[in-house]
Amino acid sequence: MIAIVFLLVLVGLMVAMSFLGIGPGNLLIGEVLLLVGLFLLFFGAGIYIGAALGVLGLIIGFAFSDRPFWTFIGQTVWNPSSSFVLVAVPLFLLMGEILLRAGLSDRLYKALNVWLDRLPGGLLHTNIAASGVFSAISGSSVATAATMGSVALPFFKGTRYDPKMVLGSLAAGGALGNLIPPGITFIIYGLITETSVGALYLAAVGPSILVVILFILVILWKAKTAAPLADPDTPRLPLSVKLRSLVDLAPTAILILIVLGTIYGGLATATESAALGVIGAIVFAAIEGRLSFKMLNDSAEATARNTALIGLILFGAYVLNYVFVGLGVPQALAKLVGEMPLPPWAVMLLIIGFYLALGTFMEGFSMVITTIPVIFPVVVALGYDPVWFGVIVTMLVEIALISPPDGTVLYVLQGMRRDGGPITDVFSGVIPFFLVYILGVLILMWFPQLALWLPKVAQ
Amino acid sequence: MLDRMIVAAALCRRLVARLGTFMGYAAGWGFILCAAFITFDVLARRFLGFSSQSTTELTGYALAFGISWALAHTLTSRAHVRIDVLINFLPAKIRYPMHLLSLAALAVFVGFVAKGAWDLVDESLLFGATDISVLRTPLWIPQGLWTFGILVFLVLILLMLAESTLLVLAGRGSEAEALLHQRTYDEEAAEALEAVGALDTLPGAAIDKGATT
Repeated sequence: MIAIVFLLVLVGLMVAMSFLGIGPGNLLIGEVLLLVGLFLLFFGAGIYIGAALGVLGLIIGFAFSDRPFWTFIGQTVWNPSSSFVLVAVPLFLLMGEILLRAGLSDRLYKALNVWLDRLPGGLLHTNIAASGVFSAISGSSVATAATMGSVALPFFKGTRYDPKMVLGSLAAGGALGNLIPPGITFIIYGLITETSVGALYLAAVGPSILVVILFILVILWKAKTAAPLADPDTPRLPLSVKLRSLVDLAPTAILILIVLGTIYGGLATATESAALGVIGAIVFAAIEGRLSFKMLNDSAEATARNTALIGLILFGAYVLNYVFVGLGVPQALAKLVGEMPLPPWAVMLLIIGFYLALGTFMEGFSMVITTIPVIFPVVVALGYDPVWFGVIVTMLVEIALISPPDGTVLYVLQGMRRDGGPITDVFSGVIPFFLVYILGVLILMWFPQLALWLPKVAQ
Repeated sequence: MLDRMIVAAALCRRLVARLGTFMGYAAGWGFILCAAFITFDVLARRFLGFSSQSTTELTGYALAFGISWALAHTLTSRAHVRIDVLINFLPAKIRYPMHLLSLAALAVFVGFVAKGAWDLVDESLLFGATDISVLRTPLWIPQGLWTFGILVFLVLILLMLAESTLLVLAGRGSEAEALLHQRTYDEEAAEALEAVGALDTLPGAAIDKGATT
């Protein structure tokens, strides 16, 4: 609902501006409105997103372009299909699918708990940390939430933890997945905007730490009421137990090291690291005794399905974008926005609001692929850094996943509960995390250096 | 008459879907091979001092192959993304035609893409185009495989469109919907749980699983 209201306000703003004669593109505004209308109609009608984008491109092409644009469709679609950068996406997905089946999540959770159990808030911290770590090696937030939920929820049975905070922290942890490198959103963003994926991964480090700290603060703040007080008389776990738990952490840590180490060390491109990660994951699955033909076959199937799903949307987006660029739409839009009587930060706030609204009913990848080709030129024209914007967009996609009342992750967690509570528990539990996540975006707006200093230093 | 046509359409659709599923698995294994190949190349470059010098091209082709060969399977698994928040609120009378419309739009778009892909292969053959790697791969080979995947996808869409239209005409729209509706959160969650091996502890999570086969 919030989404629709916001989108209407945005459209209203544009109409009002065109009536007041602000900006030179009065004619353009009519067309843009028509487009936005068609877009909403298509999406509302439940048309496949890839098809909606593609058909829109065809309609616009036939209506406005006097060149035989359709002769380029083959090449336009072939280019992203065979892009070496994009190969990283199925490989990271594959790695996640294998790890999902390799039985590492349970050990990860227990091992982290040994280290975190004495903090006020106890297991709640483990929720965040374990989800964060796991999502760093898994591509999908839904899968992360489902995995960590299934591992974590049994631990809370019969404890005095507030179920709202338990669910809220699990959801919040899942929403770290794509922000903490290596995330797939960054690869797709990098592909579409021709930004360096390595630079995006470096830029994501600062904001990731920021968001994790904000989450920890939320839990510490809520700890008194949400978690049972740690009994000071319980003996501390002996160091030997703690050290032994590190063994359980090792496979995950080594994998993260292989993947991120090679990327950050400049030894390999994101695609090559992803390939190393896949092989590493297979090796660890074999050590766990979980490697089998069926397991690999299932992973292969899930990977192929999720890649084709992204591929179809990319096809549509590239066709639409080809037509758009031929007609000069992004440049015109950038010019239009540039001449708005609004300071850049206000436009950026509108864009952020737009993404938050869109995110309530659209899945992350679709959102990025659909909107970035049009919005990116505007952002660059406003003088913002492409790498910085990539981090912002990724954070917004993550926020969308946990925004009540539509966030996917929330429903997955609700579906796994066995205490029969209402979905509103999940909503009210996640709200503090949701709010500090938005706070994180605003902080990053104020201090872009938080994201940008690391890529600069690395250069 | 109508019923007999539905049976015929469903039979054809199942056959193509079977082919598509097989191709989907092939696509997935392609990615596993791709990972192995890149890993080998990286390690060989680092430690053995040689490289195939064509990773970029070959893995790019593996991706094109992987995307296009899995398209049909993804459609059968109802995993292509649609936004169905709104239409789920509509009465069946409007909802069923909407499903057909969305499939028709997909057919139009994929029809154009297939034509474009076909022309691309044609051109590559005509000019004997190769890539710039040391292998000088003739481009029609990867592009041809890629086009084949898209063509199978197109055929499947058309068959599903025929079958669903007939079903709706015969007043069996709910069966068409079962073929076309977007996967639900429950299905997503159930799949992830099954993968982790946690399904036995959470029996309720398997709702809907297999309800559409």
